[in-house]
Amino acid sequence: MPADAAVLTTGAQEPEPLDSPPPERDRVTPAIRVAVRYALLTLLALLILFPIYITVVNSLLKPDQIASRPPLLFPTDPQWDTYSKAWEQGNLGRYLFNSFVVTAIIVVAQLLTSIFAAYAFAFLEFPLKRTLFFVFIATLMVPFEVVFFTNYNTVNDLGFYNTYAGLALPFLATGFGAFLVRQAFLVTPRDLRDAAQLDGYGHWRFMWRVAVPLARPAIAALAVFSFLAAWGEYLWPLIITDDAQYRTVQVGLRQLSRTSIDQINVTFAGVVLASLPLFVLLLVFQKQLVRGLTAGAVKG
Amino acid sequence: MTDTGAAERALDLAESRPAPRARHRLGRRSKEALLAYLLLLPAFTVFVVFVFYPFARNFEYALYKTPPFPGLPSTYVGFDQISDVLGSEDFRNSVWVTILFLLYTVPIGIFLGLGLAVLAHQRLKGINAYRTIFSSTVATSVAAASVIFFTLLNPQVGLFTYWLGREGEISVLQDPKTALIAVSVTTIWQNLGLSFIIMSAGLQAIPDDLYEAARVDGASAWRQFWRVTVPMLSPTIFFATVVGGILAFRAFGQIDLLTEGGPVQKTNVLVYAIYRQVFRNNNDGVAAVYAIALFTLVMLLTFFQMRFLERRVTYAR
Amino acid sequence: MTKLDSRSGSPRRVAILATVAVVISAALAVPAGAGTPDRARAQGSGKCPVGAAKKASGKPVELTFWHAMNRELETTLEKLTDQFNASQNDVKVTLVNQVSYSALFDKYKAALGGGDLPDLVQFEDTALQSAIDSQSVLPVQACVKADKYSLKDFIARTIDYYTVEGTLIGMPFNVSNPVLYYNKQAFEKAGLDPEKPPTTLEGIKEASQKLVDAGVTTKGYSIKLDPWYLEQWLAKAGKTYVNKGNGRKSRATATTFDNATGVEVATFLKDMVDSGLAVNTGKPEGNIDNMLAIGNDNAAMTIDTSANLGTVTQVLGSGQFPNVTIGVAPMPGPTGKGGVLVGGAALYIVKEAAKEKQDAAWQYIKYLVAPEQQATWGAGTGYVPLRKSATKLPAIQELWSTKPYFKVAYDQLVTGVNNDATAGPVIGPYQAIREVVIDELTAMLTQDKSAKSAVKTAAQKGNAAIEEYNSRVGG
Repeated sequence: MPADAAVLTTGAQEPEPLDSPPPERDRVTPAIRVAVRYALLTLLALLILFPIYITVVNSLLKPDQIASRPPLLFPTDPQWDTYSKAWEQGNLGRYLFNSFVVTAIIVVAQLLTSIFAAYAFAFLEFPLKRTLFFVFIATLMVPFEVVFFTNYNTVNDLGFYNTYAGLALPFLATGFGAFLVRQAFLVTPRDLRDAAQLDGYGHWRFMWRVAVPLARPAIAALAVFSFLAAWGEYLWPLIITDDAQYRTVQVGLRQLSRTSIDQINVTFAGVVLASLPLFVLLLVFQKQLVRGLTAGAVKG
Repeated sequence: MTDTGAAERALDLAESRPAPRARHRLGRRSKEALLAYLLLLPAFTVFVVFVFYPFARNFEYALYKTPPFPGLPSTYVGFDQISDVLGSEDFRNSVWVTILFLLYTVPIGIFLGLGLAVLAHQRLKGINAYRTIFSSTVATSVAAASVIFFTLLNPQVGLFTYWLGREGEISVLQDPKTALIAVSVTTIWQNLGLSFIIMSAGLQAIPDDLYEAARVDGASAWRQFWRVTVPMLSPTIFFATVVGGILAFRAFGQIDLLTEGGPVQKTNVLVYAIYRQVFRNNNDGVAAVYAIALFTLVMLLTFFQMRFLERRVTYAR
Repeated sequence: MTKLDSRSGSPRRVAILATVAVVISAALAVPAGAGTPDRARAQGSGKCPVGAAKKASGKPVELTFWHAMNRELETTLEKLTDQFNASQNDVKVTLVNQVSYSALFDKYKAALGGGDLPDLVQFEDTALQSAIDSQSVLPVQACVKADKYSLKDFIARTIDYYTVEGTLIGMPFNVSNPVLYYNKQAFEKAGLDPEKPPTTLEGIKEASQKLVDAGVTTKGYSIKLDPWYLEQWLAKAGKTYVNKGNGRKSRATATTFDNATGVEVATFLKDMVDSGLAVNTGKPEGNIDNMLAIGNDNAAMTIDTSANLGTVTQVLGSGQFPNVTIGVAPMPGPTGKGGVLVGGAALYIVKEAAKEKQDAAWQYIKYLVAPEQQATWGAGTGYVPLRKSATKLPAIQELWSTKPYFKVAYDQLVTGVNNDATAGPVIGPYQAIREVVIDELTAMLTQDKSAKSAVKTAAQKGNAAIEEYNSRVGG
């Protein structure tokens, strides 16, 4: 087994297993217990992995093999050309590029606006501070889906239909981000602040030289979280673009799913290609991912 | 009281001590405020334009009947449209479908995530590989997961169709009895990774000495689970329930890719209904009513969860 | 935690400020009616400026044409367009493929709200009333009149379809209609005459019974739950779908399909499924599951549009299904003083386009529907050639002799009676009605609803949809 494969922890120590029962209850030998556990784990892993597995397998089969019964669960004659077909027919190169561009814009914008706002709330004093903070939190109460069609009209009227700007605009700031980074900023040690003040650090320097580096875990977590959300966004790109030049990969998947039955392997190949970037990124940034997703979950 | 120069004075840090000074230099205070407003401006602008304005605008739209085509004028109808929509069968169906979808996906999602997290929380050799697999679906987007299931449920050649013994019959996604369930299963699967990660993180944070203490007291594994794990996890479970509920209300992608709201409107969740009203019928007025209703339901759900569920949450000392 | 998290912070002040924010935002909202047009809808004179393209100063006049033709259809359209562009110097047509009729229409609607409109569009048959209500198209009748263009050579029903209150709104371009596809091999094996497929609903039932009894196929007939089944079968029986002369004498206000024929059609579908003689392959949306059912010997017959002839012959003839020999026959249905409806799409001139572009559009239209081009178009796509004289040209003659199944769709349009019923329904909320019909038929087939109540509910909901639409159109 790939023992060194991705370790998903939050840095907390590996806990004792729950399975050390008092001796008098132990009837079954430990070996069987362990075997049962492995069996259960493996079964669940297979179930969860199956859709992904079969997608990859089917992407390498011929259409009549996919239709054959009993079903083929392993490609005996891999059709590697489905991938190039998916790439071309599905225009995936362009779509992936678009997704990257838009996601990058959104992530950078969210990071910046969150850092700025968090800095103001954490380190500055100003009138209406509490009110404005509540305003920021209030935005969390309004799901995007409640306002999306008015936003469509707004962005359309501004002339940003079928543009990267239009794709990114509604998502340039997030209350969640401001909240998350503020939490991290608030933990900046007081003596660091005093020292910086003594050294004559202006706000800008303090922000980028002290506060942000110290808040790096939270900011990285926010980045991953933003990336996931922006990359997976489906409704907004669907309505704000119709030009293949600007379509994102999520919407491109829709087109792919409607191809004809004799191209079903191409559809699967397309899904694999479209999902690869996310898989790779999450493999590399797991720790940040976990932190980003669990912010708020663990502390309570 | 440190003053190292005029330039520095202008950019001095705020005194954020609890007891404010008796006398402040107006220049410093207002410069700080100005800086703060400037820093807040970008985010605030985005919020005003893309959150508050459209939210308010819904209320205006709801009072007007929009023509079937853009470019033609709307007519003011006041509350008539609102009451018509709220009383309409389509609306009530959408609300019901959305609630049903939530009930199908959230509890099971949390339960499975918790179960997987507990199982993967053991010190077994190679457990990390299992943990990776359990979290893998977080790397699938809603669209990818939906396309996978859509193709696997193809009525003629879909693998799942075959295993369900429905080959040659009407597609699972077109059968009013099974469509919503299929959409829910897709959603649960896609959310499994996230659920697992959240529950795992919660589990990791439970201090070992609590288990130690329980074991010393002679508690069995089962007992330990209920006396230690669940209470300590309750904040996490609570968080997952609140977030899960909100996400369920926001579902759109999987419906658009799997069933497009059908069959017989059995998967026409509120968000999808809004989408259709706007982009098929150009019916912004009706859509606005739905949107306000959606917001209200989300608020109500969150409020009730805060009120009733949070009581049962035990926070760490 | 800092003092900001103290819950005792003045909630009143927050509430006030929040309200202020909301109110200000609302005040910022466009006042005086949401959705007031950003640009005044060009009323225009309603006249067709024939000859404006020739006189235009900047020649060739650039014409943007939005269409939804794909694959071989697109190739043939491109060929014709290139020919047109090459044949004269006044007009240059640029094709823009919008992939599907619904995507095209959505985009068009979006453009109506303040975007770039094209000069010429292709809308599908059901969009007729919508086109009128959008107040954005110049009726082709104006050009026919101004240019003294004769419509005599056209298949009457195609012109009738697009004529409302005496005015021809759009020019039919690609016309198809539903035909019966059946597996000749399966027929033979079951002891049925492969050259005499059924022509009535009863006939479908009997043939299905024979096929199932002989064990040749699991079911006899595959249903693609297309809403136009109801529309077509009612037309075949000579019955209208909506009132006011099928919406042609004046705006329709209610449905009329809740009658004996409507119930007969629904009952037929339900009986077939209940007695195991038919398989319901669900909603269309580009799926060809009903065809695949034939390929998999789940069925031996299905009704689908003649526009799919190309795809069908390609898929089923790809060698993947050696058990299938495709036969094509006129659509079976209830008997009556009726005929098959026109399907497909038509060309509409956009009113807002500049004068020379409107004329350019008209010149291009005339080219596309001329007999020569219709022969090429029909031969290359399988669409019905609109001009009777086109059928005498070699392209069509050759097509029909080598592939006689392409003639079926044409024959269907020139036989039968031409009346309000066969002219086809004109409905504003066409898609809404279709959705309602599909929903009710689905409920009937999968949830034990009776045919009678399904048709009745469909009619009720359909009427509600029409009323709502009419109230929003202010007409």
